[in-house]
Amino acid sequence: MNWFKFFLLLLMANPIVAYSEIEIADVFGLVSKNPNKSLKFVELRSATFFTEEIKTTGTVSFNDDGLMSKYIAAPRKSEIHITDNTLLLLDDNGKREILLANYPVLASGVNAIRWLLLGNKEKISNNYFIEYSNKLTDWKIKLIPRDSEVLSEISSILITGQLGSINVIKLSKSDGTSIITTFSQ
Amino acid sequence: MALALSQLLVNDKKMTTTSRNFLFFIVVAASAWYLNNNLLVVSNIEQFMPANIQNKNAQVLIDQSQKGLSANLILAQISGSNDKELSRLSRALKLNLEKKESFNFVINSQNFNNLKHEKLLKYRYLLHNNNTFDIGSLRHNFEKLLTAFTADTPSEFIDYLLIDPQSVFLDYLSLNQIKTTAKQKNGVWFVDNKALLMIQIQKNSTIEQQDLAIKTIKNTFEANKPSSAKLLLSGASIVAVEMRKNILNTIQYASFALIIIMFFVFVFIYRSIYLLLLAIITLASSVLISMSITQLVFSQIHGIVLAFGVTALGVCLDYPLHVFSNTCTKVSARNAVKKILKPLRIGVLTSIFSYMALIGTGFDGLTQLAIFASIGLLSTLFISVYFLPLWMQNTKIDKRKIPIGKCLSLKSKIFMSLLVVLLPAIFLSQQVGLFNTDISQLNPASIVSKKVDANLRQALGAEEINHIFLASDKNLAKVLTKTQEIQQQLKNLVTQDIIGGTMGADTLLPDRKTQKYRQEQLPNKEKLRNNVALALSKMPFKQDAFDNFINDISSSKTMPLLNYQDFKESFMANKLQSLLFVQNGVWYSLIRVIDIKNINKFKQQVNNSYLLKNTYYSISAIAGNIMNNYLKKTWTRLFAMLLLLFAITLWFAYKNKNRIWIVLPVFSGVLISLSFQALLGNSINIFHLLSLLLVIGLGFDYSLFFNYENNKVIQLSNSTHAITISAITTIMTFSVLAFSNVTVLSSIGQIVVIGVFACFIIAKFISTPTK
Repeated sequence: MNWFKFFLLLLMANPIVAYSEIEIADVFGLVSKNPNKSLKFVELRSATFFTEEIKTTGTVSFNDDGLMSKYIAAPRKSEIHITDNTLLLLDDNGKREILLANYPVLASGVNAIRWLLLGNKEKISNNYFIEYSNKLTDWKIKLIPRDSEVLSEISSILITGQLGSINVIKLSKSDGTSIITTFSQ
Repeated sequence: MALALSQLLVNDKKMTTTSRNFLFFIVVAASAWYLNNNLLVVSNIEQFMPANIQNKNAQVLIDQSQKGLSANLILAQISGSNDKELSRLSRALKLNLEKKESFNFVINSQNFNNLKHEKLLKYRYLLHNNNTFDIGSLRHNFEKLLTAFTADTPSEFIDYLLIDPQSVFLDYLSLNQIKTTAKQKNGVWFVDNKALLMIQIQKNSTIEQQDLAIKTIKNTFEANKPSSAKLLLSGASIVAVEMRKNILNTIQYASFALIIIMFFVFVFIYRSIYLLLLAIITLASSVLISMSITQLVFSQIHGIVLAFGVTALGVCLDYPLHVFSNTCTKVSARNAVKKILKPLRIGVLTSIFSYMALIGTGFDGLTQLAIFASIGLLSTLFISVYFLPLWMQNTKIDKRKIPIGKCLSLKSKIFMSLLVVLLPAIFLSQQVGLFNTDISQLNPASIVSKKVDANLRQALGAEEINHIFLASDKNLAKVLTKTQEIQQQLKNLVTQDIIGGTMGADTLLPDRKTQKYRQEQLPNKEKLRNNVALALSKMPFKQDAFDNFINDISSSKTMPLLNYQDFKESFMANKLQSLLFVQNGVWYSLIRVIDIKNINKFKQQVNNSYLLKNTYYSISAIAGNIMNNYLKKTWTRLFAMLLLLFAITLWFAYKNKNRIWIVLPVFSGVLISLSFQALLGNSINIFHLLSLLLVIGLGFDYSLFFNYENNKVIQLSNSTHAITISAITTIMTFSVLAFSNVTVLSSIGQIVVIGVFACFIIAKFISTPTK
């Protein structure tokens, strides 16, 4: 009995370390296998040149080939389609294609979400330091860019969720501004 | 001088054999050492284009087409895989090549990065039109910025828009960038299922550097594991490098053929390996010496000169052959040389005169060839006369006899002469457009390559090389104003869909008047600040968000006007320099046309406008005219040479009437050779002309030796022996050139093979003394 109490105490003393390696792998697996590939979102963006946060709403969809599409409904209609290496913008001004390789900061933010949705932990850990914590079925993954150029612009990306669903992504910039995206069914 | 020296050395008994051999060794070793350290083989075709062109504008345009940016531009096409793989290869190629110093730029998409840091950004309001400072326009631009911000636009671009919300600088760049019809897929240019790139090799690259750069492109592509994908390159430097490779291949084949022929001749006919060795030493030394002197004089040797020189070995072989054939068990080599020295010297002198006619024709390549060939001939003569007898002191020659055939009667000779001169002369006189002055025919690129190049050029919006408008003046402002006027008229042609567009310096660097006008049109700081504040009402931007924009406009109102030098270190510097440049105190502005859709309508419209007509240049037409003038001049020299030969013959004939026949085979050989080209459907270019000089030299040599014989069978046998072997080796060696991929070399080969064959046969029957 004493041995059992001691063992239980040991487990309670360091719960995250003892459980995180398994759980983070579970999170990647659950997220990638989530059948719901289309979500509504509300995004709050702040910037040094704005007096207030800018709110955008719309839907985001994702497929197993890695294509991510964002349909912004408000404040102005626009579409964003992200394929392997390019970001295609469609709005009132026409069509613009951006090669992500030319914009490492933008690519870093986009890739972090894409790789999580694809369940590609290896790519994420190659590009970010990962901090993971969980509480029952809720989890938090904090990504800190390894690349110094990216880090000078993006201080961290915090992703929170429950089982296979992503709830909120907060991209914190080095200038103190952020983009907070909240997802719902 | 060399001839006199040779005479002196023949009679000089005081010099020991060892000291002569030592002298020979020193000269050959010094030449080899010098070449090893200094040899530079080039293959740029412009050396065979006229130099010192009188029309300065034409000279400027030809220089630009040869040395300007477009001369070092490589167009690349990747095909043979799916779009995703092709775009990956395109991006990887660009990324890897950009790290290398050999390349100025690599473009595979329309991308403007780091606009905020571009040197020209502060001049944007002078460089480009902008009249949108009213509240409504400003508000529209701010809304666009807001949309861009919410649509994940890169922060670098948002930062730029805060400085330039109207995208004035971006519009300026777009106006002066490549107007491609290629579609952007996966971030790179595509036409159909092919990914396209433009690669600029560093300016003023040598042919070796270009070769290296092309190899780097190919190796880099292969390193990216293209699997089934293929890379196709096109452009002037590709053609130049390809041509150099072909020339070197031809030289190798010709050298190999010559060695085989020589081996056969010496083993089968002279039955002596030692004589083969002597012949090789004679020819190799002559080539070495002539290469060294040519390199010393010109600091380079053209590949065509070298290829011609190597095949000309067959000609130089004549002299040792005459010495070998006239030496026998009863006649020593020294006596043989004394016996044939006179016709030998006449032969060399006439050949040298023929080549000297090339000097001063205005073609640098031909001048080089004249020096190369003359030195080669003199060296061979010198070694044959002075050293061969020395090396053959105890050599017995048991050569195989060659049947000599019968001599013709005088009547037969006259009949045959009329036939071989009149028949080709009449045939040639009936030919129309026999002479070719179109330089594009000298372009060594294949038809397929030309088509690929044209298609890529059209897709990538690369400017037309052939059709150009040119404005020039000592005053830069006047040139820019004139450029604007020309551009204004060309806009009509764009509207009518006759051309796709134009590219001129005026949109890159507007004249001072335009800049001043734009400066005056800018609003003052207070008014602008007020308009910005009103435009921002009820928008989430902070009031100071556009302070940099307001300050830039304010400083633009008073800043010194932009000039040519301000473009230095800008990413538009190369572009401007290729369109606007100064030479000898005169400013030249090129207006390039993009994608001519209807050439006939284009020419018609140009002719209808006084301004366009007087500033329009067709590079091929200019080059054609210049070539035409120079061809006429060079033909005159050739005929003068023939007349000189005729005069020399007449002088000989004064003492011996038999000598009158010497000149006839030469005339006939030239006419037959030209007729054969006409029969093949080829027109005559400058390289055919050049080859005729060789035919004249050889023909005169054959004719002279046949004519110098008397009717004693043994002596006739000796010359026939030498000339027959000489003709066989020359014809076989030049046959290799006749089948070369390089147009220039095949022209030379065809003319020499037919000309030498005709000269040999006709000289045999006509020049030989009558029975």
